[in-house]
Amino acid sequence: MITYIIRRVFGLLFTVWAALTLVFFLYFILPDDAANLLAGGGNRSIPESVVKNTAKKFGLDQPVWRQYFTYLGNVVTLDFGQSWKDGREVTDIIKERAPASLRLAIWAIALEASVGISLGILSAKRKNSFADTATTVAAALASAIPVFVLGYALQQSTGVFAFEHQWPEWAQLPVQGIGPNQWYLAIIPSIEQFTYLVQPMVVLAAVSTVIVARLTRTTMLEMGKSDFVRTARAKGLTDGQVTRRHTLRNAMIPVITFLAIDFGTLVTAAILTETVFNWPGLGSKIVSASNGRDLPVLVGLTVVVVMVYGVVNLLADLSYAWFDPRVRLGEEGT
Amino acid sequence: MSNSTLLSVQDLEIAFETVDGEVRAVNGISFDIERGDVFAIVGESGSGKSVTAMSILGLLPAPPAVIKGGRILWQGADLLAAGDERMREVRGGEIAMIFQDPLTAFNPVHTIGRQVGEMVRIHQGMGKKQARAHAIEMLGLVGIPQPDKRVDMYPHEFSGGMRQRAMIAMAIACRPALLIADEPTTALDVTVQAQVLEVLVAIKDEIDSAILLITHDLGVVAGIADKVLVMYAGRTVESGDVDQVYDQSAHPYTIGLMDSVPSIDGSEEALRPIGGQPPSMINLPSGCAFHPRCRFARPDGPCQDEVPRLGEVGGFGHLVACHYASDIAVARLAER
Amino acid sequence: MTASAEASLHELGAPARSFRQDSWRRFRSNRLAIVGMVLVIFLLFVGIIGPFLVQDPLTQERLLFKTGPDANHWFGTDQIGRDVFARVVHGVRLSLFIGFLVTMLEVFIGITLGAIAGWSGRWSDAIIMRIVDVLLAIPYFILAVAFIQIVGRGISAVVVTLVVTSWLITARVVRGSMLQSKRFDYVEAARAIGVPTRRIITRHILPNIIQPILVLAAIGIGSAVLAEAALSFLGVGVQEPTPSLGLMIARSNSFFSEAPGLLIFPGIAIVLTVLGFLLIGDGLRDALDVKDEA
Repeated sequence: MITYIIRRVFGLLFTVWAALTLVFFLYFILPDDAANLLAGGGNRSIPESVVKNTAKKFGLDQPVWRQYFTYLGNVVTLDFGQSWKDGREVTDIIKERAPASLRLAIWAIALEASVGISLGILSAKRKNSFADTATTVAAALASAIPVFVLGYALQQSTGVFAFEHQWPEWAQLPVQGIGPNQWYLAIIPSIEQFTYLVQPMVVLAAVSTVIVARLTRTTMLEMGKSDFVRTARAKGLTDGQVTRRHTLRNAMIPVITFLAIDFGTLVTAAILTETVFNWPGLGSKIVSASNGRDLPVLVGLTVVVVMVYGVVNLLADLSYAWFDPRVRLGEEGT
Repeated sequence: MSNSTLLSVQDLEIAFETVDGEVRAVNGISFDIERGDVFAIVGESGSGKSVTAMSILGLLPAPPAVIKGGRILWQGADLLAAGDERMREVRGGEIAMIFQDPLTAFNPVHTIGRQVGEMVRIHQGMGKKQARAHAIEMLGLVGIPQPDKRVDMYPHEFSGGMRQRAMIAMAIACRPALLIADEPTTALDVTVQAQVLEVLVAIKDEIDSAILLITHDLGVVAGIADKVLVMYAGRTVESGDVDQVYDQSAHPYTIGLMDSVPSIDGSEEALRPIGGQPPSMINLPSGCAFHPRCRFARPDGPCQDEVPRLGEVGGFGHLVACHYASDIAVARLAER
Repeated sequence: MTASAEASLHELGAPARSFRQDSWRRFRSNRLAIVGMVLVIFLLFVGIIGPFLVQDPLTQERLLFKTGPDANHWFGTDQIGRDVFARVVHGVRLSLFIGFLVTMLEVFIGITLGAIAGWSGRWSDAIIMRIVDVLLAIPYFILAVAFIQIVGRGISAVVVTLVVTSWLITARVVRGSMLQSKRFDYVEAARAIGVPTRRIITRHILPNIIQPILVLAAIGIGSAVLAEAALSFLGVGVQEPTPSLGLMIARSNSFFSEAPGLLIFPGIAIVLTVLGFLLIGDGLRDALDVKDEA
């Protein structure tokens, strides 16, 4: 088990390093008029001297390998410089924005997991019933609606439309923003906070909930056909006992692994959701940084995302090993 | 049916509904198992033997399987008419089953000990610690070394033979009166097979239970069975004591089977396989299901039109379902 | 039924049927899959023939901003006077075009690299899988932003980004199938006779891999459409004035109360497009009874 963990950690370090190098390559090397861009060029022409000064200021006139090592050094010490837009330290921006994204993500995953798994189990139990088909159709629909369309639709109906047409108070939800930013124990929102949280949370969870439900249904059905379930029945267990002790336990393994892998999708969906609802997290910041060509912020946020993603993947691998003793103990015996 | 009869299967008929039609898997099987018997059902794949065994415990998936007729009497009551709760009592508590592939039959994420112990926890309400102790005892009974260490191991950590023993341990945990073993040795190496069979017989004596053995392996039957029933196309073609059926086979199919098995001390005659293909269970041949492959069948006789009935031939209790059974028996005797 | 019971059932004499016939029959009986097919055929019609039948999506009619649907403009006009119906039709064409192009390219790359990784083992496998891991670690939006610097904005950037991000999953699946297939006896047999490697792969292994690939491709087209819409929505995809459904939705938000059609019509168009391919993909998966590699 220990060797497994160590191997995975090294794999993670390598992947993160390679990803960071790729980022460097894409952001610093390939655009050969980076200095021009930075100096405000692109559409206007900038005097040569200004460009040269800009280049010097941002270290772009150094040889490539020097830039690379400076870059690596900065990443490791988490020194990403200052934002080109307002001069703030990138690390400060990250610290300020990260909690909002984290809270949204955690709530979305919680929703995804609970609703998705329950629906999946229900679907599997009543295979081909009306409930099952309804869930399948809902699943397909939800996957087909782009995150931002769903977001806008919700926003418009509970925010603007509800307001204009005088819906009851509880049906009117704030259109955007994070509101009072009141959280208990760092994670539990106040009632008012919840009204701001609920829409982005639902939107963010929507796509994946459906996939989780389908996956759970599939694995439950597959496990239901397996030999050890037959053995369990032959031992005289009730259907409920068979499901709980045997089918579920095995079916959850791929589902939980999926939840962790889905993090990548979550990141992208979060970018869209945060933009639609103006939720001040890392996602919306990436968009504004990219529109404003604010390189230090872009690089900083990218690095953070890559590292977090790597860690989440590692946790996913480890959890898989923990759940499945065959992986944990290695394949011994015949 | 005498007092010592545990299980009495009477005229069992089972079919499967498939998209291609109705598959008649079992077409009127009857047999009795007495206390202490080792009763074997022999047949090819598709003869309906596994289906019969599974139906005793009600393990056939209800669609597509349909019980078309017959009774399965256990301790006087018909299991086919029993309610869910009664069946759950019977499963594992009174009749236990051992499956063919011990690797897939065990749940990979639970320890062996937990799965063995589960038996007594459900049926006898034992607590966790007691169940574990009982599991250790069972594992020891089947000859697994260091059972106190093995009890906390996972199925994939056992070798094939030991896994099968563990499955036996799990089956006998509640001292069932009948053990159904569905191809218990098919997935094992030959040397290990013998060991597992030994364990089965020893256990049977230890807990005083009967065994219903399902297999296609004639050698296994010869090794441990007292009585044997030969199945073909869902029907009994021959049944009786092992000696009778093996030495005085009177059904063309049984004879064909015996002839196609090489014997160590036998003569140097060439093996005679049974010609033709196993029958389609959706379109069974008319009359006797074996007639297309039978070398004794006469085209002008009843073989194509009438299904032969089981009749006693030779010794007491030796039943054969063939129109020419007595002729064949006489002819075979003359050959010796 | 347990797997072993199903196997015995087959031995009991169910007639042999070609796998293709069986799958097609199952597909046909899946109502949702048929709905998907109908949708896709309809949309293909809209995308291919449509643009020839509608007005010019770029013409701005003065004094006709944000009007509702009427006889001249079935979906109304947008905020600078363009006909929304025409824009939606062109948007569908663009989405389909990108969807198919991206999927064809990524499936080709994915199969090639996945097959190499799975077949040749050790080194090429390690290298290719590392590349996959690394690329997977970066959200595609960021890659898009980066690629734009190189390729410039617009359709080419979108296609490049999506191809680069999509081939990863395909490659993984192909590699997995390849690893499994390598162990099959008939492959060993072919090798023993001396059949050249390429022939083994194309004749023996690939036909078995087609199933999961088909499913991935169908669903992939849907994903590509969604992704392009998302990128355009965020401003790093297709640019004005080219009609892109995602772009149209992005612009529509501020005018919702005045002209809800600007959000609704493109929104429905995207949903129908993606839904069609998704249903086909799901139907294919059920019909082919594929065991997915996760």
